[in-house]
Amino acid sequence: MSTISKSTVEHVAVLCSLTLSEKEKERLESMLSETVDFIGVLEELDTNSVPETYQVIGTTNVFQKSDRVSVSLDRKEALSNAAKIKNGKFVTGAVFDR
Amino acid sequence: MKQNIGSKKELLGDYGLVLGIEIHLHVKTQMKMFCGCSNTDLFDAEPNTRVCPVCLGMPGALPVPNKEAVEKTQLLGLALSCEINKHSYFDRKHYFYPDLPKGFQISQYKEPLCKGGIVRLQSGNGILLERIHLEEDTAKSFHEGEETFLDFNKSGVPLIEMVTKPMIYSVGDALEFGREIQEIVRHLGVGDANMEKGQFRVEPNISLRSPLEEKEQKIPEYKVEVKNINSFKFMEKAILSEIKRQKEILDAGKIPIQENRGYDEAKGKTVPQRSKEEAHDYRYFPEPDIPPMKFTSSYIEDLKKELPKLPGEIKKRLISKYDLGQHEADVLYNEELIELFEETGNLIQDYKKVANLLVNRPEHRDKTPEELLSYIAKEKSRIDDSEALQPIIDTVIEENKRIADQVRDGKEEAIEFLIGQVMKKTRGKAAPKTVRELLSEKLTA
Repeated sequence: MSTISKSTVEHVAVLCSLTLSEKEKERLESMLSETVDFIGVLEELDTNSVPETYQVIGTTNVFQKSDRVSVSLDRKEALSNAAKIKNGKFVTGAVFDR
Repeated sequence: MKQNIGSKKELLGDYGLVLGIEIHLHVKTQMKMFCGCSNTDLFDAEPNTRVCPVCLGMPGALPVPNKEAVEKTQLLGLALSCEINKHSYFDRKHYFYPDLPKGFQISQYKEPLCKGGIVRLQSGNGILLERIHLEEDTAKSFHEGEETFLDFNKSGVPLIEMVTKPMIYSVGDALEFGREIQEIVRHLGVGDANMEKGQFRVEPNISLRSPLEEKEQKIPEYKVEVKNINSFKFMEKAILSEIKRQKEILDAGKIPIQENRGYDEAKGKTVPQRSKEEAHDYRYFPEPDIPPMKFTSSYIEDLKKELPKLPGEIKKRLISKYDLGQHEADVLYNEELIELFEETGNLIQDYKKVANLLVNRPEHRDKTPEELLSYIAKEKSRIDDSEALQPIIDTVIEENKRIADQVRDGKEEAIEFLIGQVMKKTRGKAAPKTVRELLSEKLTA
């Protein structure tokens, strides 16, 4: 039985703005399930006494060095990966608020 | 400030208005929120000239938070009586949109910098805040036909988000709340808060409730958030048009759908925007690239000491110390005339007079206290008292019988000559307006 249902695949696709064919949905359903199941191996560990964390190096209060404004990228460089450029701006297909 | 917003009954019928307000504001800092790009004069910069791998959202770039932005957020929190969290961190808020190419916004979710807080309105109503947190602004998008254009200068600008509890019950209170926050933000130097430049964005959450819900203090099941408001005038119009729209839906026995709407200036009403995603769709989780922040009590105490007197307190002091009215206090505070007012007042020991002059005659606002003093002294020596002027006027009429007769015969211009004579005799000290009145009283009666 797959861990990830078809409706979950569809939901994630919406969040990622992806259009999937029925075939792709089926394929992703099994692929994503396989991945999640693999990570699920960790469930075997007893973590009751381990506090949750998202950071293991223990540093706090890391801030920018003050009064050091860095030089921004040259505009040409900033736009160099853009598929399309117009008047110094990136261009994408029309997006309207969903 | 008295707003003419129509009678409550006429506007709402039997419904009660419930408003919550969300404010987003740009923090005035040297650098952006998570990178070293300059955050000054962004509005005038050419598109995409204040950008780097961090604020363009390139893979592998490392965001490092800006201390100045954190401190200013906490300072605002202290000014609004918030609790400053001793432990705070950033979260990733995921959504898919071209103005946010890395796929998530660095924001705060579970442990914002400030919790709670209160804003007191002139009516005595206290508006409670949920929280104040810090995040990054996104790029600016321009929609044109089949294409969307993106400028990333604004991407990564430190952005404060502030949310009230849904406990504002009138349009007037909503406007006062917004103006009050704007005034405090400017006063503290936290931001310029220019609404037209998008530095101060007010988003009211609007719903109406039935008399029963009102009686039971129930918050309606739906709310409509209105965005795209760039002045307080539009905020008022947007709320009023939204009330009207929701009232019609409720009157028809339906419930307005929960959605985001934008205020359309040209149409003068709100139009639907994207439907609101549920909070869990944002898949918040702690930003692993940024270590958490810890603040000690002594750090918070030191910050408290930096807090200047707030606009409300300053105005209260003006009113009680110098016996001024609210309007005079508002003008003296907002136009930054307090120093001039107090110094000149000290010199002549007549604060009411100085306040009146500065409030009603803006042309004197550029003067130094000494200049203002000599102006007032000159005004004082002015002979404006009819009893003192009467004998002089009589003499002038006696000495200029022919001209006086002309005035009596209806030749109005002739009166100017007589006024001139009175001025001459008083060495320019007579008040011309009074002289004219006395002369015409005497000659045309």
